[in-house]
Amino acid sequence: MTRARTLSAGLLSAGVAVTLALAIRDRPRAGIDLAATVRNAIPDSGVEHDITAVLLQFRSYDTLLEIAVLLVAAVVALALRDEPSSRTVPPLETAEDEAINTPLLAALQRLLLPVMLVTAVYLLWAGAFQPGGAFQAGAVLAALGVLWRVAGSPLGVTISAAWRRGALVIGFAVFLAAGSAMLLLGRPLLNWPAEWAKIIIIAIEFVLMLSIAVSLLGLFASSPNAADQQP
Amino acid sequence: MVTVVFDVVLGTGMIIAALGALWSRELFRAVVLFVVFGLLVALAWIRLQAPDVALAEAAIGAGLTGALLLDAVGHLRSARREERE
Repeated sequence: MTRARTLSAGLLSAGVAVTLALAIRDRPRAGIDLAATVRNAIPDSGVEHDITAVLLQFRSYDTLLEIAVLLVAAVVALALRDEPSSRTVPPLETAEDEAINTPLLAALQRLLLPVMLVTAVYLLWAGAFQPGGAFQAGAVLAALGVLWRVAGSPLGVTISAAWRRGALVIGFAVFLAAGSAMLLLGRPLLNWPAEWAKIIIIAIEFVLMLSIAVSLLGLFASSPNAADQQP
Repeated sequence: MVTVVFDVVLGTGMIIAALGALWSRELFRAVVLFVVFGLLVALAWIRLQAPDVALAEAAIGAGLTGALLLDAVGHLRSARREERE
């Protein structure tokens, strides 16, 4: 039974691989050259990097919906927690008994936290003219949060639940508000005026970075911990 | 020529890491191989001239997912230890 199943799975995989290889070998030419279209429109976008221009200028509606999906995912993950009291954005600091107290981790954290913070902000800023942007910066910031949670708060800093909730929502809220504000100015939705485009894009990316970081951290931290599982 | 060799090594490495992550009996080793796989995929994205995707892959695919999986392994271990007691 298992052998037959393995064999059929193997045959199926091989078939898919061969089909893929054949499909890639004679793929049709693209009807329009999107890369060239984007390159020609870059001067109007306010940023110099093509990916950022597509994400936050030409196809910003898609990015807005993506952020909404991420927000919903984070909210649902947090709502599914066992403890009603913990159904909010988890605190950055762990409970005393859960933190791993080793000098090595504390030293590593002290070394890495500033570097990660600078890296995240740099990635965000660099997104305007080279690879980088809100998602990458947010992921680095979330990793910083994970390290913070694992090793305990380095400076005794605590961030209140209201701030955490605010950080989760701020990306989507500011993005939507800025996009709708364009309607009031008589422009299409999410259509930034050229002279303000760079500032608006960087500002939106900054709040997106915060929200992405908190969402990812929320997904990480909402894993059931040992204390929840005890009957 | 050098790039072709590099690509072949990279592709083979990815397949080996993926197989290792799937077939490893020990969960910890599987997670480490998964992180290795993520970093190799990030390199592959760079070779495909998609540095933006490479950054996201390294940060989310290898970094955060790796941390998440390690956390899960830790929980499984402590759960097993409690069962034995």
